[in-house]
Amino acid sequence: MSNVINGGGGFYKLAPDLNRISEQKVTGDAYKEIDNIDARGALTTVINLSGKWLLTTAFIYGAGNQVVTLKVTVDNIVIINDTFTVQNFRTGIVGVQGSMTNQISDTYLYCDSNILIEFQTATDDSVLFQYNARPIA
Amino acid sequence: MKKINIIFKSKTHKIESVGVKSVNSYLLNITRGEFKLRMTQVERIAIRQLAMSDAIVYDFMDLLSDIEIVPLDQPEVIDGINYCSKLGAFTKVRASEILGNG
Repeated sequence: MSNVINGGGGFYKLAPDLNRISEQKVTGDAYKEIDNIDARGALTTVINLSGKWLLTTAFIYGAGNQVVTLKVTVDNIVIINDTFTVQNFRTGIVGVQGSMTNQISDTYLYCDSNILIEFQTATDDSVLFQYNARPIA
Repeated sequence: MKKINIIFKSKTHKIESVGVKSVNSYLLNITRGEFKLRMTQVERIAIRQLAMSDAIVYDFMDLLSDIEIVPLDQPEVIDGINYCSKLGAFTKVRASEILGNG
């Protein structure tokens, strides 16, 4: 019988994201933002990450008081496919954000090749998405 | 089919979205000195000369002299620079560069 233990993770090695700081929405706040997402009528690509990624923050803003659908696919496996009513204009998918320390969901999402987040609204044509994604080497 | 925009791209990683990359609000607000330094000396002199004969350019210069921070996305700033370009102080390409983010 062997006592060898396989596995054990270690830290992720980050890949280049050279303008990471200047591209943050507010310098010093660790998130970026994608605006003007017209998600009406059909599932719409909010973000599609290709390569190895660590997604530590993902919040969708907008689409208040309406029925929406959220679909999250990681490495071709659908992990969320849900239709619900948005309250307070905010849908937390991953992480904790800013002063909204009560907005806690999954710690992070990791992918080997792809994370796809799709969103569908009834009427909102200008959803915004705040996120923190780190490319992994 | 909605258009997909590239938000980030490197040799090994890519981010795409139907939305557009948000501009850091910090980059849209620069000091008056930084704003002037975006222009060449020839361009600055051209604007001053225009201000002596054109009331709109004079008003734009007067507006700039009253503010410490120049908001590059402010309609008055965009209109002012484009107007100076229209009068020949600099090209349209230079106007775009002067108003550019960061």
